[in-house]
Parts: sequence; structure tokens; C-alpha cells
Amino acid sequence: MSAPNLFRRLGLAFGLVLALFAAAPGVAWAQLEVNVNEGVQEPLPIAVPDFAGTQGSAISQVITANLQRSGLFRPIDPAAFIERNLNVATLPQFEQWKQIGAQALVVGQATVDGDGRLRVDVRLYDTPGGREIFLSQGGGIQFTATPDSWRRIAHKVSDIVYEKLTGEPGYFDTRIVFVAESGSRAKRVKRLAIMDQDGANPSYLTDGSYIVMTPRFSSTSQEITYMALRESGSSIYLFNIDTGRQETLGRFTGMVFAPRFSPDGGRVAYSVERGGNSDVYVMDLRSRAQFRLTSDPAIDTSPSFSPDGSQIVFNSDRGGQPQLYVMSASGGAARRISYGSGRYTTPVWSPRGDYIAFTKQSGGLFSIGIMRPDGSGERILSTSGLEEGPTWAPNGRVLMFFRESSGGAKLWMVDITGRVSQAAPYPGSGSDPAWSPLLK
Amino acid sequence: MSFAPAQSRSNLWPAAGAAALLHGAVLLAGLLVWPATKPMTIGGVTSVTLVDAPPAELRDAIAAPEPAEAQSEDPSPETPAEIAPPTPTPSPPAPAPTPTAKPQPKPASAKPATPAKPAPREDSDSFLDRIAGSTPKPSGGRQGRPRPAQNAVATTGRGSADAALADASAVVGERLRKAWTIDCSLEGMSGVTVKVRFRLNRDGTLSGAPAVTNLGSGAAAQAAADRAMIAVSRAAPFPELPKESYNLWKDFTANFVGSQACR
Repeated sequence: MSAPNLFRRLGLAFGLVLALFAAAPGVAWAQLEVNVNEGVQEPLPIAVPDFAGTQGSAISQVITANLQRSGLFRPIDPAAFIERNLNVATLPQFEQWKQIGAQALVVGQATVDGDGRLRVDVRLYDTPGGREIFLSQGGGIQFTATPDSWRRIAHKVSDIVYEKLTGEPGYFDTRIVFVAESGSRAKRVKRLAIMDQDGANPSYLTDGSYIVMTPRFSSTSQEITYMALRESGSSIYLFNIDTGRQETLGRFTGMVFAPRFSPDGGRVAYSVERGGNSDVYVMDLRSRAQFRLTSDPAIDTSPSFSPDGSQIVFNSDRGGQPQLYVMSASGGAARRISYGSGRYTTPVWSPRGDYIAFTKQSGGLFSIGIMRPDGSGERILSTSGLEEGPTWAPNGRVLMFFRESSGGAKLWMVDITGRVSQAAPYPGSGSDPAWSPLLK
Repeated sequence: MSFAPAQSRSNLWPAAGAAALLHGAVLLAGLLVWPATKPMTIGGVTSVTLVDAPPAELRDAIAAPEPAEAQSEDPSPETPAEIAPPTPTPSPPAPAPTPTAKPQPKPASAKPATPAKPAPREDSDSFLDRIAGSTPKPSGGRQGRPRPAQNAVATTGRGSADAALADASAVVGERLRKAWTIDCSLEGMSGVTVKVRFRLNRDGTLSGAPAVTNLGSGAAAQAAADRAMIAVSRAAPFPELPKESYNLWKDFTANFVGSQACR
């Protein structure tokens, strides 16, 4: 193509550009590029003013508490707010939020629609930038539920705000099953109980007529498996929390304990103890066929599946004292992964797959820690006179466990950095927590 | 993208035509995506209905369970090989909300666009200078010149403005570092580099919204991009930048390097 033809095709505008380009020969030009190689590591300051409308204030408070507890956010004290009475239909006065240091702003509105359902609209803003951060493709997001589910809506809002600003899935619309303890130390009553992740709506699942231990959630459904102990012996139950239906895995010779679901919920791994020797078994829940995975004279227990279901981590004292081992989920040779001094027990594979949490007993103290599945990168997150039994939040970032002291057993939480450690928001005495997957 | 000096006049024309084409495309892109300071409008919403699966009457649901029929009295040792090989089913926790799509008009200015790469000319405020330059490569025949400040990469064509550039880079870089709130325990944040382009007015205020030019996909990349954009907006304005050298510092690219910040 000849140059004149090309020019005709390009038309006037492009020719003009070229002319300007040609007419400014030899001038200096510059482009500045700055590498920002440091930042400020601190929780993100966020403002969650009261949502407008029915129960709006209560919803905001639940969201604020969730974000605060995560340790990744610093909710700003509402007393500092300048702008009041926001609503989702108008833009906030960004300058006023920037002025109080808010880097993000959650605006919401709750209304009851004609059908009597609670509808909550939410928008998220980058306040310094004066722009909306999209919670959905359309911008804002709206949740609808029955009015008595307002706390769940608040948890859903918390989850999506958390995900947008951290890049990781939330874990707030979840529940905890645990063993609620009451009565004197000599006559301790242990009942299975359930509560929301923030301690709300606690209720009992069993009546205390028998001892319950080690409840574990399925990672795919609102179903748990736990061990029941009676004078007649131990048994393992499956319990669908939504329907209340439960069933036993069957009767075993010897003591059966430490059950845990496979990630797809189709199998349960557990230990059976006979004559001082315990080994790891897996039962297929559909066929009820069971398979023995270990067979050595040592105590092998606490099996936990990898998230892809292909491997199992467990602890064994085959090397002298309890250490962590990984084997194929179909059994076979096991590879030791823990080599620190002390006793390693209750391994739990993170739902994210990147860590295995454990209890470590060393120097008369108990710790909760994590390590990579190959045993590298061991990190102790929490230590006290007696604590054990970690369970993962579904996003693999937070652990709950229980800590015994003179005041009894208490539920505790710590994140994988170890920086955010606190009592779980449950005032009573409890042990053996199990974290649910996200509710649907 | 500059003319090669070795080219003869005759074969310069096709090159010029091609350059015009490219610059025209860049101009169009610039017109389309360079965010003007428009008032933001509120966009639509997506609606999510919670599936109410009320827990059964929990207190009453459970009588003491009775051992049901036993499937196996004695767990006789089975061969592990009998187990069907596990099918890997990666099951990351599913994000619960299932948005019932109800997309509505998007806010006009909320999507971070990918602007063309402007390379401003020193002597022009016009938007045309965005398309008149080219993307320079740092380095290349600039030995002996004063180095820009630490963490700053300034590239100049000619002239004696390097010191001013270095100063401007230092000022802006320092403020961005103080304005960037990160959490290195978030995997996405510690591994991502976010490139943010922004333009400044003569008084040091932001001209339009900052724009991320290398937006990746996924929640982690988006969150890292939002944090970087928040940092730029927090760091501005920069009134201390010398007005006389405005043309040198009006366009910035800031690289927020997570791997460096989280060493």
C-alpha cells in the first residue's frame, strides 16, 4: 500500500496526529515510574455506619464485630463519624470519610418487602478514591431472607466485604459445633452444642446422658461425625444438623474414636483400639465397607484427609513418641513429617491445603501450631499450660481450639500469623470445637 | 516506537503511516478509557436470596441416639488395596452467596480501565501528548547522568530535568509507601505487583481516577489492585511538587511490589 493511499484511509484525525508529532521535534519528554517496595502493615481502617432501616443498626454491629475479630480490619469508632444517615441511593461525602481515616466504607439499607421478607442492600466504597468497589457485577449486592435470619445476612455481608478487601474467602456465615461443659469438675456434663461462629444462637444438640467427644464437620454439608462414650463402649455417629437425623457407623470390637470425614463427605476415617494397639481405618459411607490403613504395633490415630482426599495425616508413636505422618488415603507406607522435639498430636489438614495444624506438647506446655504438609515451616501460634484440638475455619486462615485453665475449658481462636489470638465469643465452658463449612 | 534514523526517506512513509495508525489507535484508546473526572453514578445491584434451611428443633431433635444395626462386628484387616483410588476432588470452601443475576447499569467510572500508555511531552499540556510519545525503555545511553532517587525510575529523553524528576519521584514514592496498607499474610497481596497509572494536576491533586494497568483475574488480584488504588488516592495531593517542572511529573506509574514489601 502506498503512503498516500494509506493517508487517505487514515483520514484527517490521524493525519493531524502525525502532523503534531512531526511538528514537535526534539523536545524532552519524561515518564515517571516509581517502585513502591514498602507498605504499612496494619489492619485496614474501615467504617461501617449503621445501616438504614429495620434492624440496620444491629446488622452493622454484627458486621463490625466480625471484621474486627478477623484482625485484618480496624473498624472506626462510630463516634468519629461526621456524615450520618447514609443510604444506598446516594453517594457518601467521601471527603468526610477520608478525613477520619477510613479507607473503605460499607453502606447498607434494610427494608421489609411486601412479602414480609427482609431485604438488605449493600455498597462498598474506596473512600480516599471516592469510588465504588463492586460487590457484584452490578455494583452493589442485595440479600433477602426472613427477618429472623438478619444475623445470617450480616454474616453474608461480612463475608463479601472481607473477600473484596483481602482477596480471600470469608468465614463468617459458619457455625461451630463443640462440647459444652457444665457442672462441677467431678460431675461434668458434656453435651454437644452448636452456635454461630460469633457465639450467637447457642443451643444443645445432645442431652448429656452420655459423653460426647471430638465432633467433626463435613467440609461439604451441615453434617458432623462424633464419638459417643457409654458404659457399653464407644461408637461413632453421623449427625445431620439441619434435619436432626443421626445414625451410627456400626458396632465395633474395641474402642473406636477420632472420626473425621473425607473432603467429599463420602468416607470417614477413624481409629480403633484393641489390646493397647490402635490403628487407622476408613469406612465408605455408602457401602459401609471398612478398610484398615495402618497395621503396626504403635498407636496410630487422629487421621485427617488432605483437601483433595488423596492423603491422610495422622499421629503415631511408632518412632517412640507421637509424631505426625502422612500416607496415601488408601494406606501403605507413611512418611514422617514432624521432627521437632516434643509430642505432636491432633493433626488437621487445612481446607486450603497449604498447612497442617497440630497440638504440640513440649517442656510441660501445650501449643497450637502449623506446618507445611511436607513438614517444613513449623510455626507455633499459641502456647499455654493446656490447649489442644485445632479446627480450621473454611478459608484456612483462622483456627479455633480449646484451652484448659483453672476456670475450665474455653474456646480460643488464633490466625495463621499467630498475631490475632483471642477467646472465642462464647462465654461458657467448651471444648473440642469443630468449624462448619460456609452455609449455603 | 520511534522512527529509526537509518531509514531512508522513501521507506519512511510506510513507517510513518504505521506510526500514525498506531498513534491514532492509542489516541482512540486514550479517549475511550482515560478516566475523566465525571461525577460517579450509583450502579445497580445483584440480588441474593438466602436459602432458609432453619435448623431443626435442635434441643428436641436429639434423643440419646441408640446404636443402630451393626454392619461389621469385627474389623478384620482388609487389604488397603481394596480401596478404590481416591478421586481428587479439590473442594475449596464454596463462596456461599449464589447471586441471582439481576445486573443493572454499572456506574460510569467505577471500572478500572486499562489506559493507553501515555508518554507526555515536556512542552505540552494537551492530551495529545499522550499519544505523541512512545513508551521509553529505562536505561539506554544515559551514562553519566545523575541517578534518580532510590526506588524511583525516571526516564527522560533529553534536557537537564533529571534532578527534578528524581525529586518528584522521591516525594511521591515516599508518600505512596506511607499510604499503602497491606497485609503480608494475605497470599494474593504479598505476591502481586500492581501497576497504577495516575495523572496529576499542576497543583499536585489527582487528575481523574488512578487506573490499574495490569489487572489480573481473581479476588486476590482485584483486592490487591483496590488497595493500591486506595494508596494512590490517600497519598495525593502532592502540593510540594514544583509547578515549574509540572510537565515532567504530571504522569506517573507506580508499581506496588508485594513481594518486595513482604520480604
